[in-house]
Amino acid sequence: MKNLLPLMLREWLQHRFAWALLVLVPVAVSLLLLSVGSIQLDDEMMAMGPRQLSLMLAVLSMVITATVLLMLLATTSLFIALGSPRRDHGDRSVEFWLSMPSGHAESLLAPMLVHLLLVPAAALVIGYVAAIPVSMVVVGRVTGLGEWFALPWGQILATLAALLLRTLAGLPMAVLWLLPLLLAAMLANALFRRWGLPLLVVVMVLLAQGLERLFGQPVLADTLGALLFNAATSLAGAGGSPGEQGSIPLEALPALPGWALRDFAAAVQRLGQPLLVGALLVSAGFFAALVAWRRRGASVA
Amino acid sequence: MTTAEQQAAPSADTLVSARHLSVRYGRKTAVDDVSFTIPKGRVVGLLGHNGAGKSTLMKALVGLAAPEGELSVLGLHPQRDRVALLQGACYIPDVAILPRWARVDELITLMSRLQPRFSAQRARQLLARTSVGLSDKVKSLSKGMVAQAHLALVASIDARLMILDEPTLGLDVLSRKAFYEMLIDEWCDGERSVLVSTHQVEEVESLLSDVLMLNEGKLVLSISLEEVDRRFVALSHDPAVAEQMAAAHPLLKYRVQGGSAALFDGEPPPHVQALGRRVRPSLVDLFVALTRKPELDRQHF
Amino acid sequence: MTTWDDRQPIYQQLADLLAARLLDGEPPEGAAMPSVRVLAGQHLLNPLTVNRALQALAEAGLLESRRGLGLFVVPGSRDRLRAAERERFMAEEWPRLRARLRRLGIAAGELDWNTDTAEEKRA
Repeated sequence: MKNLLPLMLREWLQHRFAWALLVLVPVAVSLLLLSVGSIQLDDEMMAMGPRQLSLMLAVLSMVITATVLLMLLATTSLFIALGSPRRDHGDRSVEFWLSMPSGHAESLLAPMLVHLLLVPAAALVIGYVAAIPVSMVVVGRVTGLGEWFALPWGQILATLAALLLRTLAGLPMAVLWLLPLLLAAMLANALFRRWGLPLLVVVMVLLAQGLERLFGQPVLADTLGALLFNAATSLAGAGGSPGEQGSIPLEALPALPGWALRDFAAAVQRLGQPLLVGALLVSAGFFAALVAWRRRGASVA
Repeated sequence: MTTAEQQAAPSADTLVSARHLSVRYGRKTAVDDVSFTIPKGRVVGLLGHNGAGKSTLMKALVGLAAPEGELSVLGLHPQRDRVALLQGACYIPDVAILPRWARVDELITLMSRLQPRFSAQRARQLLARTSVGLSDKVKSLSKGMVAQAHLALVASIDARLMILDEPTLGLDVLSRKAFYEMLIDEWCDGERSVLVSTHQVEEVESLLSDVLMLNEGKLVLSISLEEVDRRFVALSHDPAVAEQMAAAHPLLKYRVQGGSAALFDGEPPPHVQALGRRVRPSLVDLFVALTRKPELDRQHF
Repeated sequence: MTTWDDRQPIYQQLADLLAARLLDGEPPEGAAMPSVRVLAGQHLLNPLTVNRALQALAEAGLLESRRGLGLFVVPGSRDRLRAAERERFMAEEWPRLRARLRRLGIAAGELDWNTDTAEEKRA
């Protein structure tokens, strides 16, 4: 795996401008809209005092900004990752990469590491940082800049740091749970190009029906559901939500770091399921197939 | 070049050794029972028509095609030790396949990390002699400039074996000349060897020290140019004396500009020599003759 | 790029070319020959071919090898070359030229022997 880092550097060089746009444009647009648009508050918010309202708005706007940026970059990265085995075939530059002393495994692994782990992680961090000016605009417009400066920043930053770390720590776990699905999609895309994903869906439907007939239960749907659930809770909520459903636990804010730590522990505990072992074995199989595909595809005259 | 003694004793001076090498794709045999060696310090021309198996043979040498038979490149097994091999050998499959999204200086950065024997400084020096700028994007370059850039990048790799598949395709005369000059200046130090496949036999003939001719996957000629001069006598003659020439059992009868010629292994008898004029058996003529009529007595080659 | 004809092996043609240059005094007697690399680059030839050409000139006694320094032009080589060229002219070219003159009916007296051009003066 000697060339893993340079191959990851390639991702940076190839996508850095797109990433910059994906981060800067939404933030700039949000700042612009929030500066001049109208901000609507619901009844509950109207009833709050300025201090409380400012706190809630700050936290909300920051979490939303970070989440939006994460969603944007994660979605784009997902597409890039799924298409990565085949992306250099169009302009035949894959032959250039094949003439470099890089192994097949590391060539396939590098884009996965970057787009499935590093980019979402970076998006989160940047999201929280970029959220600070956003919160300033929101709070400034609703309750005044003074209120924004008067916010308990120590506490807020500690809380946000806790949330950030929780999500960051949960990312690799989520990827592990989703690995069989991701690799299946990558393999399908590599083998069948744009027919890959539809074909994969068809195969999975048929497989689901077959397994159901065999075991009398919706085995595949259950398995997939479990994988998705575990992936989601890896990010947050493995140990239950911090407050009641739908309520904004402002009072619980100081307790959030504690919750985050416990939640993380719960997510780690969930890793000890046989389901994960099975998922990893299947993933290894799919990855081996991808390596074999790349080795054979390189031999086409 | 392929005497029995050389084949029996591969040494550190033999960079490539192939014995009964075949490459098959399904039912098609692209390379058919080919045996040859490449010592160090040679410029070997791999000649053949399109589809003769040149590219496939080159791919087999760098581990990108599955060979049958024995093949050793730089003492390594190409498929098994592909990554290690590509650190000591350098391969251009096609000069037009640089990644289109990259800038030239980005490629220099990547190659210095990917290829341990690459010298970024050398690359910049060589590129300065071309019309390609460091901050040019590959997709903005013409095909000829992409080829120049690719050749400059590859020339900056301190490899013992250079394997180039049609490196001058798409280059104009001046660029081709610059490439030949670079080939002689940089790569003819007596330690390295170059394997070049090309259509432009006339242009390249004077640069070669050895030649391998492929026709429909079979090796029809494997010889050093010095041996061609020493061993063979070509007599160009009027068609009128063709029968007398034929009676002397030449190795090969072929057409030359202005008439016919006959190729003899060794000196033909004086009365036969008097029938014609002594000419240099040029590679072009041999190439045309051998790739049309592969019934040449292979024992002599 | 130097074009090579089809009459002789390329190394021989290069040897002849270098010999002609020697006859013109480049490089002068006692001076070093250009290196194999330089010659290879000038004529776009494989260095092995250049070596063979230089070898042929050395075997003809026109060049000598000084250990560690390279090949040098042997003193007296110009005269030897000129003598060899004269002999070749007398033995091969002159009879052909003479036959041609006879065919055209040109007598010796009709030929213009003035050596006015600078090139001829130098020789």
